Amino acid sequence: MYGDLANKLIIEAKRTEQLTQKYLDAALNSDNGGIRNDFNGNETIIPMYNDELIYNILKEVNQLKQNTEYLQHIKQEEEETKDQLKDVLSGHSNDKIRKCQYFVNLLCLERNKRCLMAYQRMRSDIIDKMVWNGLIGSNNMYNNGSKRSGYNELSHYEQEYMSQYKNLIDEMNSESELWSSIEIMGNMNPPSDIFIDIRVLKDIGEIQTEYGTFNFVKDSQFYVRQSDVERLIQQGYVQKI
Amino acid sequence: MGYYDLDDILADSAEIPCKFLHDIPGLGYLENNPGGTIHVNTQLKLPLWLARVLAIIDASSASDDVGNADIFNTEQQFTPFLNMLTPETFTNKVINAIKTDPISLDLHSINPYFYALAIKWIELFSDKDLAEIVSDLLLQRSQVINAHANSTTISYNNNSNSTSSTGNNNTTNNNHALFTLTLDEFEKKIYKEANDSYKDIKKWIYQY
Amino acid sequence: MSLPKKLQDTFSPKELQFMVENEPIKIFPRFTTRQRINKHSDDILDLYSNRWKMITMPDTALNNMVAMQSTTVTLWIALLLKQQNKCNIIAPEWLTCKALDRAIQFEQNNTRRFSPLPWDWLILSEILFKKAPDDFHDPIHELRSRIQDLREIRQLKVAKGIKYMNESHLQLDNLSILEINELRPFISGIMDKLKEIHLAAVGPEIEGDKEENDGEEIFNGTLRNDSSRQSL
Repeated sequence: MYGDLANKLIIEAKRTEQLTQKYLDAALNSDNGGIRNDFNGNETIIPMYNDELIYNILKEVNQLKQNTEYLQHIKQEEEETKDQLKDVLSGHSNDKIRKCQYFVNLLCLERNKRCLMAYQRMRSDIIDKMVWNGLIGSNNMYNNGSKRSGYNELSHYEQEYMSQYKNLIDEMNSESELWSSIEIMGNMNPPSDIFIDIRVLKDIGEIQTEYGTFNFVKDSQFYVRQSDVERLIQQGYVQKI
Repeated sequence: MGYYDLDDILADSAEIPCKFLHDIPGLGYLENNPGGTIHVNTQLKLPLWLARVLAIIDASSASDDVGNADIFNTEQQFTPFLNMLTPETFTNKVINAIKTDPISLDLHSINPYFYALAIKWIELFSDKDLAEIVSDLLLQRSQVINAHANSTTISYNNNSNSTSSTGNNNTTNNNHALFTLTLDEFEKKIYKEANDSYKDIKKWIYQY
Repeated sequence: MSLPKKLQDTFSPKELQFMVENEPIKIFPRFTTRQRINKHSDDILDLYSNRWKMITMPDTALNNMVAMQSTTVTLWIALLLKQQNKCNIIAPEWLTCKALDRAIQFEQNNTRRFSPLPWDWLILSEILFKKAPDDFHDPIHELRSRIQDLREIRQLKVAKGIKYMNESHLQLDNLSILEINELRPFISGIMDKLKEIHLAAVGPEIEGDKEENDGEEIFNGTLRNDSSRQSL
């Protein structure tokens, strides 16, 4: 029955939505306010692009398209023989039949289109959210080196979309004076205390601030200005007490 | 709702029993009989996205040619291709169950997209009675959902943000889990949002 | 969207805290910044060397402080000075055992109304308990328990009050911003759905004479003719 494959696709899309929602919620609740840095590369946020199912649905759409062409052909034949028909009533019922067949075909086509579009839209929304979360991006120092998991699960067009979206955001960030002073990719939590106690988790070395130079050795504690160490908290090198 | 809304699409795939009003050859595949004809008065289960349009479109005004109009039939008769019959979701049995005990009703087993389906159905038939029944149902169930969302406990452990079932929290968390199984998809969404907001506030109070 | 879904419709409690920290509060500063202007002084530059200039708020309060004379500043300034031991915060009038007891009495006597507490009572009290516990006359644990009682009584009342939700109107006066914030996603979700159900039943507005429009009902996509619907 037409439309069954599309249904399967939508069920998968719904499952994906629920999975990603859980993941993004967890990221938002963490202390660094929405930026995940403990990403080990084995987790998959977004499942593989379902090439096979999409291909089958497109085959179905092609079949429906052939149906419409066939119906068109039949209608043309009827038009030609219509003038020779003396029975008006049967002409009417033929019209009815053609109309119904045409509508069923059209509805199946539209249904398939809607399901495909909704699937793609869902995935592109997830890609947008991932870019904003700072998870994926090579020029992003919050990312653990080259672990760009999630990138390989996208189709070719989605990968292109993602890099263009990232470029757009970078452009917006650096374009004018107005935007460069706002940290668009920064922490979601509003600033609270001006000075905070921090504990160093990894050896970083010497950090220079307005108030002097600090030597950040593992397990040492410092009382520093929050805005200075904001980046380090996000990267996971220090922890707020 | 919306074109891209997944819940809307899934609600549209609900099956409605329909009765055909005409003979239509060539559509036999709808009843697993490819190449055959569907006869008048056949009853079939069709998905809502298919049945809705076929029930609205007027089959009689098929002819564009004014000259061919039936001069003996001056009445404008509206006959669609099929009639939609009440699906299982809205039978009297279900409506009575709703009226007797709205709160402990297992809405998920009736239809996981009950509210979306109800809204579409009400819109098609302007059924004010059904609208009242469904509104009342929603209002009563929302009280219970609010109570459940408010009472979930949180763990004081800084590393985990989810509810942990320790010791005597086990039964309450089980109750919540069982309760959510009886909710329809829309109610689940509301429950989750309310639960998140209550949880956030409790977390802020305790961690501040 | 760049904003996560959770934050699209409501505030997070941290954001609310940030907003509350902008409110004015009275303090006793422990140092003086006000300077007497000596008209005969030649060194005019000295007069302005100790003045602070604030960007986001007027600096008159800060520049005119006299030790142990009460003055009003914004909350975040007060918290910062408190942290550096340079001031004492004066607790607001409603945050005393007596006032809170009166509020609890009101809540218990009027089961259909909420007591008129300030809009930020919950957030402000939590902030002050944490940052300035020694500035209260009454012991903190008593105040805390009263605040908890108030919160619980009000929560029960709210649960009763939302029974009167309908698709267009719900009125709960005197709720604080935190309480409203926690209810917002739930109530707006349910009321939106009720509105949808209501609109679906009432149908789109048809202008003009009803009879003339009967023939056009086919194109509205509805089946108003009941005979076309049959039950099993």
